[in-house]
Amino acid sequence: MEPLMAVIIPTLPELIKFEWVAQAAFYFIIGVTLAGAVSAVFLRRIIHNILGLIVALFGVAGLFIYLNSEFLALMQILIYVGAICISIVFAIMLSDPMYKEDPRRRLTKVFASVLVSLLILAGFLSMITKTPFEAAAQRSDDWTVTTVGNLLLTRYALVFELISFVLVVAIIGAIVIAGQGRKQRSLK
Amino acid sequence: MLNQVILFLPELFFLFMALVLFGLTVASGEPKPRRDYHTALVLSAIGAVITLGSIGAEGHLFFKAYRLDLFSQLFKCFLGFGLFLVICISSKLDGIAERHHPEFYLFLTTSTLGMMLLVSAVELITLFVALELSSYSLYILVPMRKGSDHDSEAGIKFFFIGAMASATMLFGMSYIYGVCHTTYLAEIMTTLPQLIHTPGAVVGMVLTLCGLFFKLAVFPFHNWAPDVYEGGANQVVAFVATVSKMAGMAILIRLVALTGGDSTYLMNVLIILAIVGMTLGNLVAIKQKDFKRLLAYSSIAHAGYVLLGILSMSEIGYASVIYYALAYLILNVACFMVLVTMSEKGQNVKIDDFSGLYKRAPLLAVTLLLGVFGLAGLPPTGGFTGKFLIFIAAIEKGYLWLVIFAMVNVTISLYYYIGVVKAAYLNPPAEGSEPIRISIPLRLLNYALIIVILWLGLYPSTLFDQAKIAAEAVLAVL
Amino acid sequence: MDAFLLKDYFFILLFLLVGIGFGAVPLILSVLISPKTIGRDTLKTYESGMIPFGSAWVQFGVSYYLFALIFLAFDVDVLYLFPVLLAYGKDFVIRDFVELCIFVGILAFAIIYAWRKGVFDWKELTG
Repeated sequence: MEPLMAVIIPTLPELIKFEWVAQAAFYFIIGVTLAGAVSAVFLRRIIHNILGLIVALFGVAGLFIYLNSEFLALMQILIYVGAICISIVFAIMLSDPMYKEDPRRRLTKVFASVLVSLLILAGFLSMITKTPFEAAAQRSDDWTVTTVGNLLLTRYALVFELISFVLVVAIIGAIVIAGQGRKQRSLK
Repeated sequence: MLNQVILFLPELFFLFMALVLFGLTVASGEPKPRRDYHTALVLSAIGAVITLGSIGAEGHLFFKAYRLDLFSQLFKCFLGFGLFLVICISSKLDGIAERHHPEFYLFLTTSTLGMMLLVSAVELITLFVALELSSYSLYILVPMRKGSDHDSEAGIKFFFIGAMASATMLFGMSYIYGVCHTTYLAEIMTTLPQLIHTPGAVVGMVLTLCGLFFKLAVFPFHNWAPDVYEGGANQVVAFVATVSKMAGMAILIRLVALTGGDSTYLMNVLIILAIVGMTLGNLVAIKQKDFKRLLAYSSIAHAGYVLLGILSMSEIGYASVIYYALAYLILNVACFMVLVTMSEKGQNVKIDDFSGLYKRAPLLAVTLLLGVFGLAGLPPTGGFTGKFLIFIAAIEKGYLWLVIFAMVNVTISLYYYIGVVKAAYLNPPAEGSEPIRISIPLRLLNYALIIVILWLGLYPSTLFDQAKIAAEAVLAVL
Repeated sequence: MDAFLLKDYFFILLFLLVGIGFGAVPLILSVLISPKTIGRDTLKTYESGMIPFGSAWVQFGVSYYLFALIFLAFDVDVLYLFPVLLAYGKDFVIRDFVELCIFVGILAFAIIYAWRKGVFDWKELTG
C-alpha cells in the first residue's frame, strides 16, 4: 500500500487536471448541500430532518474549504454538526414523544413559503449581480488557522475575551432558567 | 499601560461589580435579598460616579478597535446612571424569586457592561459581540419572572426575534465588509459614502440596522415589545425600556453616521419605518388597558421619533437624538418608578389602578404626571425639548411634511397619555385603597427625577452643547 | 486552492469513501444473505438478547439538556482555542499567556456556578 501511495500522490496533479477536479468537487459539494437542505425541509420524520441538516452543514463546510478558509470549515463541523445538531436531537428527545401523528402539511402553506423563498433568492441574486464587488487592493491569501489565531491574539483580543464572557453568561443563564422549574419540583 | 487601564476604568469597574455579584450568586446559605440589594446599589452608585468622572477621556484601546471619545463617554455615563436608577427601584423586587436576586443584579450588570463596550466599539466584530453580550443577559432576565403564565412566552418571543435580528445584522455586516474590505468603522467611513449608491452597500446597511431596530423596537421588529413589557418582571422591563433603548440609539447614530448622509434609498427606508412605527405605536396604544403594554406601544412610537432625528443625518440631528435619549431615559424611569411602587406584589399595573393616585400618594402622582406628559412631549418637561430639537433638525433638512406628520402623531398620543393622567387625578380612589407609603430614599428619588425632568425641559443648552460636540466626535471617527 | 492542498484533501476523500463503504457493505450483505422469513420476533427491537419492554420513544429528563447546553458552550470555547494554540508563543509569549489565562479564567466561572448550583450533582437532579 505504502509504495503505491507514494507513487500516486505526487503524480496526482499530473494525472488529473487540476481545474477539472476543482469543478467536480464544487458541484459535488453543492449537490450534497442541496440534497441535505431538501431532505431537511421536506422529509416528514423530524429525526430525518436533522440528519438532512447535518448533511447540508457538512456541505457548507466543504464550501468553506473550497474557499480556502479552513477555520470556518472546522467551526462549521465542530459547532454546527457536533454541537448544535446534537442539542437539537436532545431537544427532540425532551419534547413530546415522537410516535404522535405528524401534523398534516398544508399545500397553501408550502406554496407560500416556496414563493417567499424564491422572492428572497431573486432579490439577493439581483443585488449581488448589480453590485460591483471590487477586489481589495492589498489582499492576503494567507488564511490558515494560525493566522486566525494570531489575529485573535492581537487585533481581536477584546473580542476573544468577550466571547468567553458571552458564553459564561449563556451557561449561567441556561442553568438559571432550566433550574427554575427543577428546584421547585424537587421541593415538593 | 497604566494610562490604558485608567481609560478602561469604567468597564473594569463594572467587570469587578459583576465579579462581586457573581460571588453573591454562589454564596452559600439562605437568600438574603437586602444584602444583595444594598451591594448592587452601592456598587452601581460608585460605577455611575466613575462613568461621570470618565467623561472627557479620549484615546484608543485594543488595536484601535475600541475608541473613547465624548460620544462614548457621555453614553457610558447615561448607561451607568440608568443602571443605578433601575437598581434604585428594585428595592421591592417581588417579581423575581428571592434566591435569584443576585443573578438578577448580575445580569443587569453584564448587560450594561455589554452596552458600554458597544458604545465604544469602532470595529464591526467587537460591536457585534458586545451587542450579543448585552442581549444575552436580557434574554435571560425576561423569563426570570416567577409564577406567571406570560413569562415563558415573552422570553421565547424575545429570544427568537432577537436571534433573528442578530443573524440579520451579521448578514448585513458581511455585505458591508464585502464592499468595504474592512471591519473598522474609521475605514468604512472613508469608503462607504462613495459606495452607498450600490445595492450591496444599501442592503448591507439596512440589514445591519435591523439588529438595532430590534433593540429599539422599530416597526418591523417591534412585536416582541408588548409581550415582553407585559410578561417581564417590572424592574426588568424598566431596564429594557430605558438603558437598553439608549444603547440602541447610540449605536444607531454610530452606524448611520458611516453612510455619509446622501443615500436616498436608506433615507426612504428610514422615513417609511419612522412613519409606520409612529402611527402604529400610537394608534394601538390607545386601546391598551395595561400600563406596561401602553408604554410598550408608546416606545414603538418613540422609536419612530428617534428615526426622525437620525434620518436628518446632520450633526444637530444626532445631537438631538443624544439629548432625546437622556430625556427618554429619565421619563421612562419616572413612569416605571411609579409603576413599581404601585405594584404591591410585583404584579402588572392596569391604568385603572392609578385611580385616585393624587389622594393616595400626591408625590407619585406628580412624578407620574411629569413622566407621562414628558413622553407625550408637553412643555416644560425634557420630553418636549427633546422632540422640539429633533423636529428642528428634521425641518432644517427639509422634512417639513414629515415633521407635520409627527406632530399629528404627537397629538394622537396625547389622548392615551392624558387617559393615564385622568385616572390618576380625576378618578376617585377605588374602594378600600389605602395611601401608599413612600420611604425616604424613594421620596428623594422622586424629587431628583422631578428636578431632572424640569431641568432637561427648561435649561437644555449646557447638555445640548455637549451633545453637539459628541455628535462631532461621531462624525470624525477617524 | 492549490495542488498541494488538493493532495491533502485527497486523503479526506479516501477516508470518506472507505467510511461509506463500511456503512454500506454490511447493509448490502445483509440484504443479500439474510433469510427472508418473518417470524414472531423478527421485527422486535434487538436489545442484547433481552426481551425489550415499553417503547423506545420515551421522553428524557430535562437534566440531560443542561449537559448538552453546557457542552455546546464549552465546545464553542474550545474551538476558539485551536487557532490561538497554533499561534501561541510566536512573538510575545507573556502577552499570549495572559490572554489565554483571562479566557480560560472567565470560563472557569461557568464551572464554579454549575458546581455550586448542583448541576453536576446527579442525585439531586433526578430527585
